[in-house]
Amino acid sequence: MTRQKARLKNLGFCVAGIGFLMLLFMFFVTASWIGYEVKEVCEEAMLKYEGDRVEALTKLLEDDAADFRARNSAAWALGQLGDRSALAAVKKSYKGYEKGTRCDRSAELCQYELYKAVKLLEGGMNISAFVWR
Amino acid sequence: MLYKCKINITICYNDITFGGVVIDLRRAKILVTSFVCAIVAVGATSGNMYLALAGIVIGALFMALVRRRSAEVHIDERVEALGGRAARATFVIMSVFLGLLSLGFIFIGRNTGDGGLEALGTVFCYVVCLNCAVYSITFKYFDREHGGEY
Repeated sequence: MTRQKARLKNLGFCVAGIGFLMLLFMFFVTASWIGYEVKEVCEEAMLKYEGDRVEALTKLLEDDAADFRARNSAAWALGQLGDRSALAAVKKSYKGYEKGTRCDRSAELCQYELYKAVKLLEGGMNISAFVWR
Repeated sequence: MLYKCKINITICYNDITFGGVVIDLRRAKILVTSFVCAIVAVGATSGNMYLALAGIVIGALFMALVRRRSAEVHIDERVEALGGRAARATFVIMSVFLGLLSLGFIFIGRNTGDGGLEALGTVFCYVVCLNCAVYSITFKYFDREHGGEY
């Protein structure tokens, strides 16, 4: 019986360990991918607008002539970067978000995206940022 | 230092009990194969792909369950040893290959400014780390299973 218990315990540790590692792996891969996406959005913005990445993203966000998808991505990237100098620009576009409301990213500035960006820029925790920043 | 390793040789049971009736495993295999063939034939002639697929899946599932119940395990020490060595060699080759590939991707990605390539290299790096960590855990598990103390 004790031998059986020891074997079960050993198996439990093994399965839990591998499960934990898989989760950790998925977290790191997702975080790396977020970093890659942020970099992509920054590069696209810097091709069109002058300044460093935060300035370029801010200009993209405020550009009414730009595509909504690109502007939403800019808001998301600003939140991910967490540079407080962009807070004023993001807050200017933020009109308020009600929980549960859906948005069409290609037709409007997504308030949920801006809400998340404001939260992150105000010092909210971004658990994936340490991997890629 | 030598470590003793237990090798369990399981006796082969060729009979399975199914609803109180003892069936020879070979006959069970023949029965299941005929069943799968019949279902696939019916599915194919009636143009029902799902039926054919269901037949195959059920057949495979049944055989897997029957194998487990009948405990038909032929453990050949040579095959076990070869499998272990092949697995270890595969692990080493793949880890080294992916490690070098990831370094190459990161290096080229950084030099050319290709973010996608760099991200792919990073992901490969994580894969190699995961591989090593899972190897360590499974090694520890099997070590304990076979009576190791360290």
